[in-house]
Amino acid sequence: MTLVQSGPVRAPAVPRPLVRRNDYSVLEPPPLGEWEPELSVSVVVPAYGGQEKLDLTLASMAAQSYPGDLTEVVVVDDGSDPALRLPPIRPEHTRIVPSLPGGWARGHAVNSGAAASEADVLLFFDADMIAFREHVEAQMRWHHLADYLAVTGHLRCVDYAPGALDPARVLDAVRRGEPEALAEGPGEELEWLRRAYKRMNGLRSAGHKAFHFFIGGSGSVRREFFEESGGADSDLVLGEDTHLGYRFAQNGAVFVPESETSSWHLGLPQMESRKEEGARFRRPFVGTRLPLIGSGRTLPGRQWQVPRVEAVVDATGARFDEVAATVDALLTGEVCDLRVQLVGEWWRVTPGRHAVLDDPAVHVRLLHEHYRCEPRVEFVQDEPAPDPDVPFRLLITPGQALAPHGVRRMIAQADATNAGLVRATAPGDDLGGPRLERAAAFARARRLGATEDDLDAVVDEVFGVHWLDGESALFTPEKPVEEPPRDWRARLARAEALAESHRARAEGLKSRFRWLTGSRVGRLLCRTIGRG
Amino acid sequence: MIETLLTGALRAHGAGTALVGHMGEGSAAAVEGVAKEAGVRALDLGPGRPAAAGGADRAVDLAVLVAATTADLRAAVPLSGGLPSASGVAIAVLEAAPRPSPPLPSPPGLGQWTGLLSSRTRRLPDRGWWWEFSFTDPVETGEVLAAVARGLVGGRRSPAPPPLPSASDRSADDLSWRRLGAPGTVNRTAGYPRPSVGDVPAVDERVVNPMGFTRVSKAAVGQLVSCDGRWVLLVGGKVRWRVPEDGAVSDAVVAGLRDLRAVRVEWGRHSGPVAAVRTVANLAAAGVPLVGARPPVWARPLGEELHDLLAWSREEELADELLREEHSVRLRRAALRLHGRYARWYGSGPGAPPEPSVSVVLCTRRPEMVGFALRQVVRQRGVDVQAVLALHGFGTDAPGVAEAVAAYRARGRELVVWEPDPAMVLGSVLNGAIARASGTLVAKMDDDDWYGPDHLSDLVLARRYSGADLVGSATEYYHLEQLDLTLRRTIHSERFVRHVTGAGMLTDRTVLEEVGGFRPMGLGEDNALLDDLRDAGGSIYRTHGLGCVIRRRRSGHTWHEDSGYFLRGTQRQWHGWRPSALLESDSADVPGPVPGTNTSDTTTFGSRR
Repeated sequence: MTLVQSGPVRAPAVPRPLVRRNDYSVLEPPPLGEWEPELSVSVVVPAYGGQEKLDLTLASMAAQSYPGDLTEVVVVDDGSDPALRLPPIRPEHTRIVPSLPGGWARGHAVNSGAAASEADVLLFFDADMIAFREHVEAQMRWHHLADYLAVTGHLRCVDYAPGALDPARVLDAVRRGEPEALAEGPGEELEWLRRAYKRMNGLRSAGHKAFHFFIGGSGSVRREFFEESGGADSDLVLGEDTHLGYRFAQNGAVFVPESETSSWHLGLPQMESRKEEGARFRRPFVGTRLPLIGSGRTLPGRQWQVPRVEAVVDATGARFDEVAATVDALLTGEVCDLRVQLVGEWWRVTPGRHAVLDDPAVHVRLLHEHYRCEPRVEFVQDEPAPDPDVPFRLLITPGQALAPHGVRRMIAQADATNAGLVRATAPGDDLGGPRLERAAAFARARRLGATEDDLDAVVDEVFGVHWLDGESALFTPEKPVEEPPRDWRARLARAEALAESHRARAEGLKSRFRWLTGSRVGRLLCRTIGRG
Repeated sequence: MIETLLTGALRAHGAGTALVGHMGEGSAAAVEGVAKEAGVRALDLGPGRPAAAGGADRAVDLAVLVAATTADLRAAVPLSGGLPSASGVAIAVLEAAPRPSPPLPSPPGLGQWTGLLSSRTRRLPDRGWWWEFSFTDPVETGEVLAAVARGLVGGRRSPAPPPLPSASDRSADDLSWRRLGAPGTVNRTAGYPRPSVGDVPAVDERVVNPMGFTRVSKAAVGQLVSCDGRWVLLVGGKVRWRVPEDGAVSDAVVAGLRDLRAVRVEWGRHSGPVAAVRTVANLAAAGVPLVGARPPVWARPLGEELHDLLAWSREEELADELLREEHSVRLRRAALRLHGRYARWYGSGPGAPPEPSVSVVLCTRRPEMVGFALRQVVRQRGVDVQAVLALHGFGTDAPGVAEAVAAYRARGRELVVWEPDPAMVLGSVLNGAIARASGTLVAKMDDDDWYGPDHLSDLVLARRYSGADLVGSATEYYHLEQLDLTLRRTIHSERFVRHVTGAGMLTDRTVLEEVGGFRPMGLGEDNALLDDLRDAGGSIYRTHGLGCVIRRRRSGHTWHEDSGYFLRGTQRQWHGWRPSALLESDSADVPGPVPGTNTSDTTTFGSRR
């Protein structure tokens, strides 16, 4: 396809085709080298030491097919000692900036680079990689098709010995389109990523899980989208790329792996060579911020920085018993990893003498006292805006008390059906049951222009709405798993003995049958008996 | 095993004279030993063979008949008239698909078997069956064969169509590639002998049919490929089935293919064009989802509809279980209507029996639904339909009713309008409506549900191939008005069941007479009918459910369940109005304010999407 866009070059129309879940098949990127780019790109290269590899990275950036006047490269020096410097072979618009004060590590450097640049698209590229000639172009063509894509560049790990390559050679090989000349062998793909792409048809069928496969080495996103998503978490030292992918997902992103071209990663990434230690390090740090990954979240009773569910209960004008039934059911349910936003007229809780049982605000007072010391309940005056970091939002009417498994079941249904909204009927009220909203789906729907009136309909188009029967699926407690009988061991032994005796009998019958049909005497006997 | 039984029978009957016959591919070897021992030559009793059996006036001590498959046995029945009588008869089928009830022979009704001494039915290994009879005096062998054949497929008595003469008096053998390629075949004046639909042996729908079709399949796709000039069905590189020379398909073969997602036909060489077409027509009639390239010119006897279905099929779509089943239903309809034995018989011109006509009984308490309900009836095609409309509690003077009736009659269809006493209960109203109906078959439809144009003709087909006393559609599809949601529930279909819903049932008028019609009840009259039918030993069959959608109204329905009731269990759901393509939804009858704008699909269980 060719890009036909009107208007001034620096203000391209923002394309927003509807992509359902992560199936980006509706986007048809033009073939490499056969289109007219319009968007500018800031290549952000976070670096800490490693001047030699950085020189090679910048040399490869100088050989890109993407127009030089649409490209700027910002190297973020994350406090290297000695400070990094720009080598002679580098793209025309290349700057080096220090990390912003007050932080360190990759996530912080990424944010610093974004803040120091201003092009339409941000492309993050590690300082120990060599980009192939079309690497930037290949990613950029996607951003011309939609403004809510997170594109991941391809990489292969190759052995690297210091001093083996020099920038001039890299520039030449990349420019000629022969990056193979720079490495021995085809290099190694990240095996888990390759398998995931294959299993999920290039992430098209990855659904809500697509963000798991966003990696930091090479990836790009529109600047506005990056800023709306909140950027990287500066407090994260490892795993900040997965967390950044999560934030993109929460903001409605579609994840596109760009595998038509590739790049060399010089040496094995640390995360590959010291896998277990890396995983252990990430578990608490990423785990507390990202409720959808990791096994730690299954610990009963634990709480974390970001809960899995934010429940909103509107207690305005409602009776104490009804609200307490609903909220207590949530707090004591199987999913403890939740926060309750209790909406009500809390200003009516005043100090000083007041009527006791006849106080008009008695239910407000009772509720306030009931949850005053419960850290998971927040008193709010109005329905709060959704917390962008929390993946699920649950809306439930006072008086409806979920069974202990209720929230778990709703999340499981949302995940099993890849739905953006799970709704349930309530007994006697088809439309009044609880609803569980997936933040990622609602963010996508709003981006695509949904108003509050047609939000559910657009969510249905982008992710799907799934209905449950509230009474049987959510409000009725699950049957407890039946205990095995006390004497199971004896019963098993008896059954096994019986089976063995049947087997022996069958063997006996078989051999008798063989004798009767297979031997002359046997057949004679058969005939004699048959006549008789 | 079979040899032992055969020689055992020969000896047990002290047979001095014997007749040994076999039919179907692979059956000759089974009778070789017994023929030798009896000192006679084994006769091939299959179709197209000379019936040199010696005449019906002769009698033998023992007749031994071995059929390879159920279809072979049934095909031999009309050809067995010339066989000698016998006082002992042993019959075997080497392979038959499992059926819900055992194949007990069903004896003739004129006292022919009063001399029966003993009768025995036993199972053979490898899904075969064996029957042995002794009589005091010789009886007609053909009659015994017919009794076994009836028992083997079970179900309602149905007329046995005569073997139709092949359109051009050519057998499949005459049209093998070998013969066609022989010198002198191409006549200068007549040209190449182009086979026609009539050359293809008809499908015995009581044997090869959609019974046993499953919604769930594995991902495996079979390939029908040519291997040394003969078709074989490969699954995962292994031969699952070798297609016989004559292209015949048996019920056991079909039962062995139900796990496949599809069968890809790769139009290679088989023994002859007619045999190849026969295979494909049989598989299609069984509802095996067939895909493949555009069929070659020589496959024209498939008929245009099957030809197009194969040419336009898309294998990758069949991963979706709904699209797979839709494709299967289209294939079976096309094949059964063109190649089915009954369909050919009904269409064979003067002298053929009339196809049974269908009366629809429609009972409504709501004048506003009359127009909608009659539109569902008037769109029925492929069957001769008469309708009885019972207006329960209002008259033709109610608003809109007269117009709806006139619109229906304007389409040239017969309609009886009846205004029963409003005090009558629903069961009695239905009985009254049935009494006013003229069709051989009676179908019940609800006033607020949607029906596809093939709803009735699918039920008629299901009745024909299942032999059941009552057939019904699976009620899988629901539209919940309150939630604006279309649901497809998991209901097992294409099988004998205890229960079908009243919204789409069809039965014979005579069956209703036998069980005493509907009970005079205001609610639950459908279930009572099914109870009565089961008590009388009748059978109930449930066919596919793609051709109807049950409406769950916002209010005023006879049901008392909340919408949530329908959301239980495994299902697939879509926002908005999303019936199966087979419903051929009419835009005039689409529910809700904004029809068809939503296309979401969330699946709880079922096929992987």
